Amino acid sequence: MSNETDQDSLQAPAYEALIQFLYQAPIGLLQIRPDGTVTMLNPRSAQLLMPLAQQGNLDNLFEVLSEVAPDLRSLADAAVDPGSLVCEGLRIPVLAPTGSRRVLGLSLLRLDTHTMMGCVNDVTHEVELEQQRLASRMRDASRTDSLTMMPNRSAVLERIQQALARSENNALHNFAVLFINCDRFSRVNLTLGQQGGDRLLRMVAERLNGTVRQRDAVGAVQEPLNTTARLGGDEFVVLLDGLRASEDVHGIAQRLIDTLSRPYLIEGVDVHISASVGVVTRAHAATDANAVLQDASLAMQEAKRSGGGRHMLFTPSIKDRATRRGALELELRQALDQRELFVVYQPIVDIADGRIAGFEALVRWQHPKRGVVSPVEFVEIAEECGLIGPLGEFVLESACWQLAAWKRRFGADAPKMVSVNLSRAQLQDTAIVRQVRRALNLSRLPARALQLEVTESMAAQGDDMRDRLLELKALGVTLALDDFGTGYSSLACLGQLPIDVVKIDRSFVADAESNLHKRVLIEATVRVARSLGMSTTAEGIETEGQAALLATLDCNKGQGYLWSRPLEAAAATQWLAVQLNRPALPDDGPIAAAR
Amino acid sequence: MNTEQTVAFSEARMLEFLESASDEDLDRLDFGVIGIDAGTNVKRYNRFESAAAGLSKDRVIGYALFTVVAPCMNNFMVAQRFEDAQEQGSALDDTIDYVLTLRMRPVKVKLRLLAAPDRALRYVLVQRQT
Repeated sequence: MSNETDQDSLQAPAYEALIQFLYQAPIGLLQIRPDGTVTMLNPRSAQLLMPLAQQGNLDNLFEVLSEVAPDLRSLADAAVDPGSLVCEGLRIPVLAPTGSRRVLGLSLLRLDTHTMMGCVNDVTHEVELEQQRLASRMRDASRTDSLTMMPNRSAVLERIQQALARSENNALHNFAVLFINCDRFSRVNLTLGQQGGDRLLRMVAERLNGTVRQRDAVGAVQEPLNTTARLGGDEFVVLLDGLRASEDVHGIAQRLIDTLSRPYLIEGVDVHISASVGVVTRAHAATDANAVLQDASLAMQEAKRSGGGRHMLFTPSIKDRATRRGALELELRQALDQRELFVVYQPIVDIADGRIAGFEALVRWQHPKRGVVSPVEFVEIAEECGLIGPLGEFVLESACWQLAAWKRRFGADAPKMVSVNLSRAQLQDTAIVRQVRRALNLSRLPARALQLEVTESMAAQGDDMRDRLLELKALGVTLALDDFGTGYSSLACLGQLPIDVVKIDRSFVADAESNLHKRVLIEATVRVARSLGMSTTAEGIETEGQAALLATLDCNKGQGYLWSRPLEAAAATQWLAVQLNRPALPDDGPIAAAR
Repeated sequence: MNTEQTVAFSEARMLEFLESASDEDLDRLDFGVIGIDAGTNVKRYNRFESAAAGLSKDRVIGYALFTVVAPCMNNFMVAQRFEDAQEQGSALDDTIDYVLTLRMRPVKVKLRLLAAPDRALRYVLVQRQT
């Protein structure tokens, strides 16, 4: 090329225009040989690839990219057919000297045996957008409950927080959080299996969506931002954001419960559940969404404790009770360890001749600060926190041990049996049969000396409970139906239960003398029980008159303050000694002290 | 004449020489010389560079170097260096290995980048490597 030659004059204008076009193209274009040697490239290519080139050497594309795309050479070797793609949009990370991270996209096409055509462009922005889209999709997925496709806990927490913020800025902005739990769902899950349970949960979700979204949007002051969400298991949350008035929540909660309580047709079977709802309104809302949800959950538990199928408004007193329960739970654990629990005994007497038939064992808690705590307060807590197992076992073993001690002390005159109450949770646990057998073995009592009391609501509930009762009965123990007349079962159902003794509730005994209706009921109970081979025990007998009346009504046994209040072991032993005309012994005391 | 012929690509006092050299002096050099003003418009362009790049002087003089004439230099390795030096008011004399894309052909070159705060023109010297 001579210095005299003006290149312009040799180039056709079209060729020059083409060169300019390639030169100015905002995309990197290059041509290489199959071994990677660069034969052509435009400025944009050079600009993009230069940061990867060692000492500005762009001679060979494969060498330039050897660190960031090590497979490129073999990819190129594999693409032998003309027109075949070596790679398309291959992402190549580049760390620019300015420190910023760029991403290049490289496409290579084999033109013929000697040539490959490439294009390279900066796809940093595209990659960023893709990552944003992916993150957003991930966020959606992490905020959606996969079973019901409802918002999940984190999503509803966010919306509760937004509702809190709105109400803080606007005194007229009302909202309510409804915590919904299906009653008896675990039973459904057991019966229908997990698939059936999941199906049910989806149907519950549909009904919630249908009830909340379609109806409560009408007539709102502003467009309400209602949210239905699933927290997990059978727990759902409804956020009513933008309620006209807080009071409206009662109607909505009831409507939700009604809707959820309608039967569900699953695998050809009508499934019945109900729902308990805890409600937090603006008036008692905490400032943090998590706390609001917790409070709503506490109110829900309170609704469940009240029998379920209802809603309960959260108030600070519910929280106080929950705190107290929490404290009690902790103390109860310590009480079990530190033997603050003890058993008291109330005599059960043959009404006809006044002879002592046995004792009912009742658990008490000598709280170091609060004094004696009633089992009404702590048995439920023990059931909820799983302490009922050790607690029940303690009572069983103490009672059996005590009866064995009385047998040693009073011989043939000793009471024949001791009666121990079983809680619902105990009866649900298969371990109960083993515990009873162990208590009998330890005390060497015959099984017939132990009576176990269950309430009629427990006994009437489900096949599991019934099976458990049959297992216990097979041990030879006596089964008593406690508090008869207060629950659901009728006289007609008595025959279906594996029961030996019916205990007539104190509420019947209390006014039996003045209330003909109660008297007739007692009489009927005694007669039906007897016809089924069961005996009867009346509870809460306080007067001679009541005892005489129950004697005429042919009730077999009685217990109550007429004979004695529940006594601690030592006092019960002394009481027995007096009744049996035995002199008190010095070791009557240590019996109690030992427990 | 003799003195001018001895001016090498790596000449230490290159900027001084370029300042005083006539266009004819530049045309006698065996490497490319491109002089740009503060606005990066090409003011000087020697014969060697014109021949090597295939661009006549008329097509180059007065045009912006980095955007019109040689977009392949519009990057951090070349254009950015001049900008930085201008911004910081510092002298620039650096020689780098580089690939030019003249007529779409990758041409391996050494570029010498020259600038000084008190000089009106800045220079890119281009030495083709074989």
